[in-house]
Amino acid sequence: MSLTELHLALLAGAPRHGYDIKQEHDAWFPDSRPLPFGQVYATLARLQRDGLAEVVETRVDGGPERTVYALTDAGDERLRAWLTEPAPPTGTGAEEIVRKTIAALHTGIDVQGHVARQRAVHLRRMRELGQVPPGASPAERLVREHLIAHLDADLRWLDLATDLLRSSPTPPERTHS
Amino acid sequence: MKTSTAWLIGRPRTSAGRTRTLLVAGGAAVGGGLLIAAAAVLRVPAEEVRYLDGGGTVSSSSGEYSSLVVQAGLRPGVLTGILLLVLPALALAWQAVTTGSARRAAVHEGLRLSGATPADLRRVAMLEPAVAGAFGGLLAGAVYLALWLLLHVAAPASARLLPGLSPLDAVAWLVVIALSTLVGGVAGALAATPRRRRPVRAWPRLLAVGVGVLALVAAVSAPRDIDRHARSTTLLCAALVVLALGLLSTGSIWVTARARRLARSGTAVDVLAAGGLRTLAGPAGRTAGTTCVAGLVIGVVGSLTGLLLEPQHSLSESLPGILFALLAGLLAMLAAVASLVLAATDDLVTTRRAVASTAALGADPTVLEQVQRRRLAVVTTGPLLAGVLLGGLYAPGAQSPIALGTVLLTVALALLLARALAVAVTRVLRPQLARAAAPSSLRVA
Amino acid sequence: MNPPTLTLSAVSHTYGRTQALRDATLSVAPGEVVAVTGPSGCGKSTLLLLAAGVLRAQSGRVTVAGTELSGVDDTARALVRRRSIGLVLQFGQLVPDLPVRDNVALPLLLEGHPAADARAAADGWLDRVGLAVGPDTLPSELSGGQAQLAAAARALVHGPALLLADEPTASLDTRSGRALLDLMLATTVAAGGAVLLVTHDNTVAARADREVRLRDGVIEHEVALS
Ligand SMILES: Nc1ncnc2c1ncn2[C@@H]1O[C@H](COP(=O)(O)OP(=O)(O)OP(=O)(O)O)[C@@H](O)[C@H]1O
Ligand SMILES: [Mg+2]
Repeated sequence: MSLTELHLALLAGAPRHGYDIKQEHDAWFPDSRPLPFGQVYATLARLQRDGLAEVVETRVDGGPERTVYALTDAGDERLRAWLTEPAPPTGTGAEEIVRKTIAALHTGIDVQGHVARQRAVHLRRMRELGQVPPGASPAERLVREHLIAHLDADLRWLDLATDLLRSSPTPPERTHS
Repeated sequence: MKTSTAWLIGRPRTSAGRTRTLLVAGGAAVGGGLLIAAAAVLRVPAEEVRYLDGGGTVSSSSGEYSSLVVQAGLRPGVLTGILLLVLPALALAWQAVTTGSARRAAVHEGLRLSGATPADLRRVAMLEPAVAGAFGGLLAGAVYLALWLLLHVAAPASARLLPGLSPLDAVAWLVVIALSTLVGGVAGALAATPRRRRPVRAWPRLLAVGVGVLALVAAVSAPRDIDRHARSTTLLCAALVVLALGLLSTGSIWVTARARRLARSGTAVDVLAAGGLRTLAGPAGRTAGTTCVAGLVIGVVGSLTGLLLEPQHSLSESLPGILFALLAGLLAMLAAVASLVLAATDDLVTTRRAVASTAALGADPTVLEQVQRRRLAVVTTGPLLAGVLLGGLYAPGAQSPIALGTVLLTVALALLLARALAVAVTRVLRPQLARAAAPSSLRVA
Repeated sequence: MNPPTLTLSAVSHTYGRTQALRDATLSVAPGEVVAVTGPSGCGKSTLLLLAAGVLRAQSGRVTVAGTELSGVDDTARALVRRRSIGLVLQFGQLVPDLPVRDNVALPLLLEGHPAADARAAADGWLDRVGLAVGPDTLPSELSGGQAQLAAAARALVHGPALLLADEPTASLDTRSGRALLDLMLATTVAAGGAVLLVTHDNTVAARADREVRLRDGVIEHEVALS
């Protein structure tokens, strides 16, 4: 799962503590299920164990004690590597392309490159799907058309996402809630 | 490109296209026939006047022809009159050549995209007006023949303006055919040449009008001197031609100015009328120019009629002149009407989609008709009146009170006429307007 | 390797004060299909018109089938267009008042073929694109999609070495659009022709061998799809 990398992206802007990360995540993906605290802390612990994040500060401002995490160089590298890899052109179950794109837009890491690579893999897949082998059954054709339509929807969403980013200098605001 | 291909592509197919061809041919025929007649008038033996010692004069005139063409002082006047009639005919033909320019621009763009070279495009543009011109040149012979029958065979000696037929007429005819073919082709090519959108410079055109007016006043008010009569008439001729050309070219300035006024006034009808006028300032301006020149002819005719009614001319002597002048006025009127109908039809064909979308947006037929009438009024009332007044300058210049009276009468008539015209043309074009407003026009590219 | 059929090198174009295209460099090899995509107003049509020699490059060079279009006069460019280019534009751009059949025959007629032959060829192509019209049907009697079919037939009738198509399927339904695209690509590519497709439809772009993406008049990226 890419939740690990997503946490790296959430940490990329500035060091944050667990509560911040949850808030930020829920702002990035207003429509998806809120991130449970337990999962945030578990992931952070794992990141720290793997040397991808480190504790930079323990803050106590009035309330409970808060541990602030930051990306390590290895973590940054891992994040960039993840963003360099386009999401698989599956069409259905497209959370990955959404995660990656939102992460790229928020972190500002090589957005244009991400879009280009993502378009390329999607278009390639659409092209393959369009080359129906002779003798394919109508049912198979329809399955292919379904996939093509989904990939097309992904690409249109990608266009929209990059346009929104271009037209607003600050990262996209929370749209719901 | 082969000529047959050019004809296949460029030949008139729509009724608007055929009307255009007919009008070009008609204008060329009338203009050409009159030019042959003008050349024939020159063949009438001129009267030689000898001054007797006792103070009287002896004329060599045989009395076979009207004094209008025999007397050295009057003949140039007749020639001027004929030339003045040629002008509206040619203006009408030119206007016909330039109609449907928006449509033709689309045709050219389509051809260009398919790989037509500039030479191909020119050939397509030239062919149809050249054919129409040639046809008109041929018909000019018939027009001349009709004039000859009227002014030589049928007319009594006192009204006889034209001499008998001669081989020279055939020569003149051939020249007219060649010229009208050539001019038709060149006009077609000119009308099709995409013009760079330059801001229209008003002052050279207004200057031409000013010079024409000054020359006209100078020519008319110059002291009458028998010996230099020919020269002053030539000057008059030149003045009228300069004035007419100036007026033809100022049409679009007038139209643009009026459109601006209408756009500011704010009622829906005015604003809609202004929109059409502004985008079609060129064609509408040409109509205004033609109407104005027709007005000029009518004004001059009014003055001349007054002059001929002066008591020093006997009625029998001046009657043919008066009839001739009235005929000229009638022809000018016809040119103006044809020009109006042509312009209004063209306007409807060009703006079909705009008319249809206005109708689709909820404008009812009466509003559309009012818009149409307002536009027509802009190109008739003002220009016609201006032309009549300018032509009327002839009368005070000649210091004839009777002429002044006839000019005033002509002005009043012209005003009424302009009104009636705008209404009548709108009425005549009602079916076309309905067709333009039909939903099927929405999809016409 | 064959020389490219179409080459644009550092081509720019400005309308008045609008810079529609800046420093575009691109080439299409024989048998290759290239899609130009990008948002509305990004300069796609401008690029296509430059490639067709309809617009003259204000800077840079455009070469089609070995002729450098910017270096020759209007007549020579028209001849290149007539002989080597098939052009389908965004709005059909048929010649009004000329019957649809003659519109399709136009490239052959201009080239001096006898009218009967040209019309027979036109009928064949009208049939292939699936447009049934009478000999006197006028462009104004066609629907938007039918006009696009006719424009495609006109672009294919002379077997061009370079097919330039601007949103050729935009006013067609999915199935007719796909059939037309199949026909255009198959016939041109089979004859070794090159295709430049302008589109903002991803499913159309996915038919190409390469995608060139434009944004604000600049080529943003170029990726191989095959
Ligand atoms: N004739 C013209 N005069 C002035 N500006 C123009 C002209 N043609 C195009 N433009 C401008 O140039 C830019 C690029 O236009 P172009 O037609 O190439 O866009 P496009 O990518 O084809 O858009 P679409 O997808 O909407 O067809 C636009 O900003 C447009 O407004
Ligand atoms: Mg476009």
